[in-house]
Amino acid sequence: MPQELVIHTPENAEIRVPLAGIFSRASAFAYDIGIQMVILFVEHLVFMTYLSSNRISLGSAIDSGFVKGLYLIIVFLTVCGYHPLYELFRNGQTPGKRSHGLRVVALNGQKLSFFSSVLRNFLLIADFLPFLFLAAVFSTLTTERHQRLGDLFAGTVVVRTEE
Amino acid sequence: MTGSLADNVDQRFAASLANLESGEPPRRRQAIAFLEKLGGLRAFQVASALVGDSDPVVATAARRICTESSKKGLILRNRVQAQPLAQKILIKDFYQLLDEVVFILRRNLNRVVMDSFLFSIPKFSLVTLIFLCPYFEGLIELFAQGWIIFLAIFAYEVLWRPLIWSSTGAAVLAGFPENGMRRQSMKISGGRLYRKVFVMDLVESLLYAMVLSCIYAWYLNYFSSLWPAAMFFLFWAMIWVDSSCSTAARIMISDPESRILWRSGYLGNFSLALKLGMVLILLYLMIVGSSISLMWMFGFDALLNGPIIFMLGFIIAADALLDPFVMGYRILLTRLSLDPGCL
Repeated sequence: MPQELVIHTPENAEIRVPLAGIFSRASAFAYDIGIQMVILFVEHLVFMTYLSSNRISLGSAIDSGFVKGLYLIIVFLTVCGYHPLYELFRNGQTPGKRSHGLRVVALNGQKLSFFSSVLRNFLLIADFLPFLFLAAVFSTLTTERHQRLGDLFAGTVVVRTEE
Repeated sequence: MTGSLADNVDQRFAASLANLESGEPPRRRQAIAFLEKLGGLRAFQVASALVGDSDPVVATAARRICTESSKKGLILRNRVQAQPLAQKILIKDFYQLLDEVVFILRRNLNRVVMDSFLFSIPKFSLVTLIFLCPYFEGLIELFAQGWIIFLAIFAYEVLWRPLIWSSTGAAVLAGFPENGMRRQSMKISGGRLYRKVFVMDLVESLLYAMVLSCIYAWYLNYFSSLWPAAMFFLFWAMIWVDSSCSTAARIMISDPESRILWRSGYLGNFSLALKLGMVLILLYLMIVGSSISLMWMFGFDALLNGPIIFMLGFIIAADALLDPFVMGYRILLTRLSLDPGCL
């Protein structure tokens, strides 16, 4: 099985890029989870400060559907938008991936599309099953290009960069 | 009508290939003339192989076909040559080291899986027996006989484990990117190696067997606490961290008499062992947790409320699955410690 992504250009040139291994990816993911936790904590602090500055009690804020809804939307965007946002606007690299020298690319080596990025991150739910990402581990260990389920469906792959 | 014409062209193409393979110049020239008239990708493919032909007429015609095909925009992609595995791999951090272990295992996956499965049959049999406990009371009585279990633990750890090392260890070596190491995997085998590994592994395996026996003795209420197990675990961990790579080193060297490596691998790098321990705990948690989740999802949750020994079955199964990985890690680390520039 190759440990490299082989890309053929229209000029008949061959580009070989080393694939990222499962442990580097897991470590980068844990790094990103840590950052997300910090962001969520800061958001929560801002939210609580806003409530106290406007003399709104937490109980009445929870009772208010609008405030609760707004808070949940912000949390949802932080959790679900973090990866697509970085992958689309930071050239396939979240802070975790950048720190480990990894990058998400399409199978032809090009930048991710919006749909691919959203799909691969949405399928993290399937990758988590049945517990602690066993499906992702199994898929990464057995597929030719070390792809988790999200990567397989979105046509993406994680490669190692020399930066 | 179209079908028969196509068949006719195919037949003539096949005939021209046969003529080109013949040694008769007139037949070959006639064949290349036909290919020139035919044109297209098939003719291009054949002609590209005849550009340097000894017959100048055939070679010229072949060059003409290639030129015409190129003008039409046809590109002949060269077949990708099988490339040798990279000899030098830069390992920058701990996680990349673990990745490299996975790559090594994947390069010879069939043999590693086959070997580790065959030599884990005792473990899987034990797991099966444990899982059958809720259905057969006789089995629970069997597992209550301490001396049988202690005997089984010592026999497995002391006598069976060297066998795993000498077989799965060789399979892991065969997946190394380094040619010398791959050749090494073919040299080592036999009873002589088993005896050497047995001797080198004896202290570690005895201590590990003591750890397992103490835990089981606690389960059977022979001991009131887990302190004896903890003490033996401490001794075993010190041996494992500081010197157990000797087994891996023993696997690697062609002549066991020539070099004995007792202190290597983890020496001076305690943090690596600590990190590996953390990773292994996570992997155990993932496998055991997934197994329990699956049982719960498929409606076997009643079994999860059974005796503690049932849980032990999951841990033993996880141990059997992770064995090749740990073995690969230790062999790679020992190889790196022998010559840091080798990978």
